[in-house]
Amino acid sequence: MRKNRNRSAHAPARDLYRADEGKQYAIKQVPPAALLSCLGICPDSIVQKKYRYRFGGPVLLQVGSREVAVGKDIASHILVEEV
Amino acid sequence: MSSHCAVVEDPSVLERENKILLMGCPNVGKSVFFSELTGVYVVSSNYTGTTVSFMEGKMQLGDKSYHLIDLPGTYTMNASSEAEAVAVRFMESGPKAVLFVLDATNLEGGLRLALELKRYNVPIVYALNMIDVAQRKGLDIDVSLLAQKLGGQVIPTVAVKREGFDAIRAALQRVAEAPLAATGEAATALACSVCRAGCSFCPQAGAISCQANELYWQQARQIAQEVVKSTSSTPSRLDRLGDVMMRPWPGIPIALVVVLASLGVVVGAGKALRAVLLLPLVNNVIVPFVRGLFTKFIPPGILLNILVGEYGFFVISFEWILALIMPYVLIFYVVFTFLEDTGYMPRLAVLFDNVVRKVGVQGGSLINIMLAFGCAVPAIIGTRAATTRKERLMVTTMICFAVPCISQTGALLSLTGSYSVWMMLGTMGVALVVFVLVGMITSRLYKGTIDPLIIEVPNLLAPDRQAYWVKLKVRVKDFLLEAEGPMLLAVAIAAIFKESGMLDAVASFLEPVMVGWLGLPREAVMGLVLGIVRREMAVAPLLALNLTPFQMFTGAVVALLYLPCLSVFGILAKEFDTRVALGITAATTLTSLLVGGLIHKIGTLLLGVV
Repeated sequence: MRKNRNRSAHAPARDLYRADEGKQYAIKQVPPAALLSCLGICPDSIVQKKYRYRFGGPVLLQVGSREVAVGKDIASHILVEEV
Repeated sequence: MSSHCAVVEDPSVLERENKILLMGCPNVGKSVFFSELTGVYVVSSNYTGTTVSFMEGKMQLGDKSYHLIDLPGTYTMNASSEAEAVAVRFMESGPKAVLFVLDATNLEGGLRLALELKRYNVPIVYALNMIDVAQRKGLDIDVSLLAQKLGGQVIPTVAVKREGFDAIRAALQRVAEAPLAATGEAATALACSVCRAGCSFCPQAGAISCQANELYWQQARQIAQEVVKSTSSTPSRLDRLGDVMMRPWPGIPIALVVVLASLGVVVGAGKALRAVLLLPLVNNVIVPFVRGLFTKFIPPGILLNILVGEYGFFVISFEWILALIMPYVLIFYVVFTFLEDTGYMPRLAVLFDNVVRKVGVQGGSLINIMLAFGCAVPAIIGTRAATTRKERLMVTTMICFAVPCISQTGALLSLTGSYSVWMMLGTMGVALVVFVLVGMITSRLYKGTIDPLIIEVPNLLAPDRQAYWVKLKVRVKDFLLEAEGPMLLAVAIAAIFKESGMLDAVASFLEPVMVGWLGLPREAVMGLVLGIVRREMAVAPLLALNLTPFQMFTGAVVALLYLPCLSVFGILAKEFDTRVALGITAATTLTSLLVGGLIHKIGTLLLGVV
């Protein structure tokens, strides 16, 4: 999971964990976890970041019509761009 | 074992003729379809992964009989998990037809899998389930356009209310009896319509590339956009509530209230049921009646004692099972089944992921841990859904150590609660501390990694009344059927053990442990003997010993941490291996004696109590 850290990517891309809540994002890069793409979190899909839970909790995303929670360790390796 | 623990894993099922497969993404209601179409009841819940292996049942369509196979829900056919590998094997085994269940509230994901399935050239009937929830959410789905896009019949259903099943049966019959048409080519053409590069994956089954995966997504999204129209944007009250419950504020306080209230209801209502109804019934009516009956016909002696003596079979089977355990079991299932059907449990998994992470597992494991408060067997089977072996093993160990099943919880609540609320809370506190410690230790001890939480949050649903009652009835019936045999066996052992004098022999042998180390009376050894058979039987014998409060506390802790029952041992050996089963058994037994002894020693030193 830790391989895909890519901080020098193009300027507006940032990680989903620290991205602002309540905004829409286009996914740019995802770590290789099969379940993510199964749930529709794959490059170019649009997600809304609903909430982030404190103290190392997950982030809650709206992906199409479904809600998906993604743990901190994965969310911080998903790169997104605001749309 | 009966339905909720039964896992069909007979490989010959794969070879059967006349198979119809029941498929779909997780948590779309496949199990409800299976129950309704075959008459075999399968526990269904509002969260993913209730079916972790496949189930088989007979289904009659016209004058022909078919085998309906309920496969575990999968998101893809990549064979990347055991569940998906099972699905792939069945798709390649020549089924007559597939009944594919789509979640109307969440069409994209289902469509993605549906498109992937079309590669296999098997006729598919689509059930568009939860159409009522979709309407509630203001989604209007063009069913005929969807049917056209998918190239198969689409039938709107509300499975929990049994709406749409006649049409499903008719469609399945037609498809299964028709000679295999050349649907495959059309399907492949459809699946490949977005992929103009002439991909190599299209006609062949097997692992598909990442690129193919994204093409399926694109296509699924496109279809969903075309067939779904949002009619209104005002979310229903239930959806708003579901959203409020997921916000960190006030979601977390609400969750704490829900958990504490559930606990309060189980303890309070269980206690009331015991005190007002079941205890007087047993003590004043049933036991005097059977005693009177047997004394009339059987002369005093060892046989009479075994039947209706102090530990007599017909005395303790009522005193322990009916009065001590049943009230809590009943109320637990009332509360638990409700929570399960609303879809609240995955919400707890999300809200408390941060806390559970500190212990070493992830939020998703909470669902299995909560399940274990009912019975450890289905919970341990449920850990199959875990993505790493380390997570499976950790959750299983934590459950075996410190999560008492409901019948043991019932017995513990009855006994400690009759002394004081503080003793009850103290016992729970010790269990919690041990639970956390076991998590922390095993997370260092076991090799491997734990994947972070990735979980779909289901719609919040008001449980359907009829489905709820059926499930509750099945749960209680299953409990009685499954638990009764071993419990009666334990009771019979207890009766014979006590009356034959064997108890005295074992008690003398273990006296240094029981009396010297734990400070309990020597007769308490009965609990350690019976606890091997069933967990609550480690607690129940403490009932008649007139223990001091401090002895009761020690006894309760020892019983709680003591080894898991025979059925759990069996499932550990089956799901892992004998080494794991023996290891957990030895570790729990030693821990329970160690902690019990420490409590006794510290208590004696500090408080001067015995």
